[in-house]
Amino acid sequence: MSSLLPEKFAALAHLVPAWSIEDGHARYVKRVNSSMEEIQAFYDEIFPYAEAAVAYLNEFDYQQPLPNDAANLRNLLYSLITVSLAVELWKQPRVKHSANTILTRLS
Amino acid sequence: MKHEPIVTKPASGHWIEAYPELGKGPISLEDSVSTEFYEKERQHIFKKSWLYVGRIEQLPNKGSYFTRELSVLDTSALLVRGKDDVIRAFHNMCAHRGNKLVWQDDPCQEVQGQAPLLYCKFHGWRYQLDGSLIAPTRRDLLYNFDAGKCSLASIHCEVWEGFIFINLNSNNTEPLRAFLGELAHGVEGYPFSQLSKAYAFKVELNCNWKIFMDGFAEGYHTPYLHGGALPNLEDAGNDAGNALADSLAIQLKRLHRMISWAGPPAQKSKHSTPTECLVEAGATGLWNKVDLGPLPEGINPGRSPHWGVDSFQFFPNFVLVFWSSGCYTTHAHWPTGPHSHLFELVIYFREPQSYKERLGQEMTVNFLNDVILQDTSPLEGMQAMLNSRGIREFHANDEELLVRHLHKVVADSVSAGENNKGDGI
Repeated sequence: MSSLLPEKFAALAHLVPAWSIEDGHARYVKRVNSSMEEIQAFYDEIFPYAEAAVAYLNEFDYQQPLPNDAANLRNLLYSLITVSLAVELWKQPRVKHSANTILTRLS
Repeated sequence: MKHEPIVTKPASGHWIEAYPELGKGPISLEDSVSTEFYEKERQHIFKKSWLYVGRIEQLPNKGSYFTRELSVLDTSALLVRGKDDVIRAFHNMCAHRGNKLVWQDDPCQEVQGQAPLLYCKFHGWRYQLDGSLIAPTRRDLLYNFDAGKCSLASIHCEVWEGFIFINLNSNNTEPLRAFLGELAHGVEGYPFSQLSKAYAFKVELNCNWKIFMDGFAEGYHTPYLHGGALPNLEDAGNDAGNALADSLAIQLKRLHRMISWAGPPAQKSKHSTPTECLVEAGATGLWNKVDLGPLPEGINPGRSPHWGVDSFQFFPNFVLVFWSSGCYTTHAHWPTGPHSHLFELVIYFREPQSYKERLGQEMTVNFLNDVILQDTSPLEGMQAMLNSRGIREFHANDEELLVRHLHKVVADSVSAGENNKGDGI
């Protein structure tokens, strides 16, 4: 069985089932349906690895599909980006004063 | 690009001086409240104007098609690239008994795909991609059958710079490019097709289409409503060096309008978040600016060194936004009722050259998503109060000139349509 993540990011493997979400809409839905504690815990755990993860991914040719473990890592970074606005700006899962509205992301 | 500004602010310091016909008085809100007015808008504006429905990249091959469910027009439009590579539009209905032609599972949902011909699943009639009937089934049962009278009902369709437009007015004689006018001509040559990485969103909102367009027509609200999300606005500066979000240029041309702003710039600032720094991108784009070569003359018409973004609003409901970081966005505002509309947003970048670039695009896309969510609820709240008719007029200042213009050209178009009713149009 191949690993969920590249070896040097193995410590983050337990985040994969919940936060490796490629689809942009599903990822946003995950953010607004998570508690701030869950979001903060994910953010705090991945952020220290993020710079190395970006550098690792950037070694791959963008024209070629990523191996599964690297694709999971990329998806975790997508999720970091999606939750970063909640953590770094809003201090809550949703945009302040946005009621229960979200946009439907199509692509 | 010519270096001299093609627009300068009137010496009085107010843009309105260049457009005295707009007047300076309060503006009626009835156009965003009244059900009767909405029906007139549908009849005299939406059913008679060129309307943006999609990009040519959505129809890449002969036989590519997509449908648009457009309740404001009381129709579903079918867009198809023919074997001759011509893009055509049809009412999405079979010429036999009017069955909806192209759909899957739910006839009210939009679809896209690829087909060698068009096939009606009700009685099996088949059409060429140009809309002509190939053959009815059970021809032996038909009376006085004339295949030439059984083509799909066509809709005027033209393409400008890769943007596909339709016009339901069968009497229309004005070509799309002439309709779009000078402001559109000024941005021709922008590398639209090169920026093919598209991130699309949609949302139905409980406010009139014009109320939401107005929110994107002025920067006056930006430091207040978006100050928290865009703290680096203060770094934007502008040629006057004063108010945070004053425009650099405003142009009103017939039915269309544009506004140019300073920023905020797509670059690292003391306000940048840790994740923005990680992927080197923020709300207004990638910090490593993508060089698109010389921009068309109509962009940054004030020729400001601080230029950040231009927004072009084409009548009635299509908006093109150019960002100095090297991406562009489209907005389409489709009424679904007098107090509701569907907002469609697409953000276009070049195809990423690396995973870091892809992550940077993701940052900008997520950020814009959240900034727009700052607008949605306030504008729904505004609509809810407008419906009370507690106030019946609104005030638009000199930075809200586009708002004034939109409501005026809508009112003028509806009046002209009402006055021409006797002409059979």
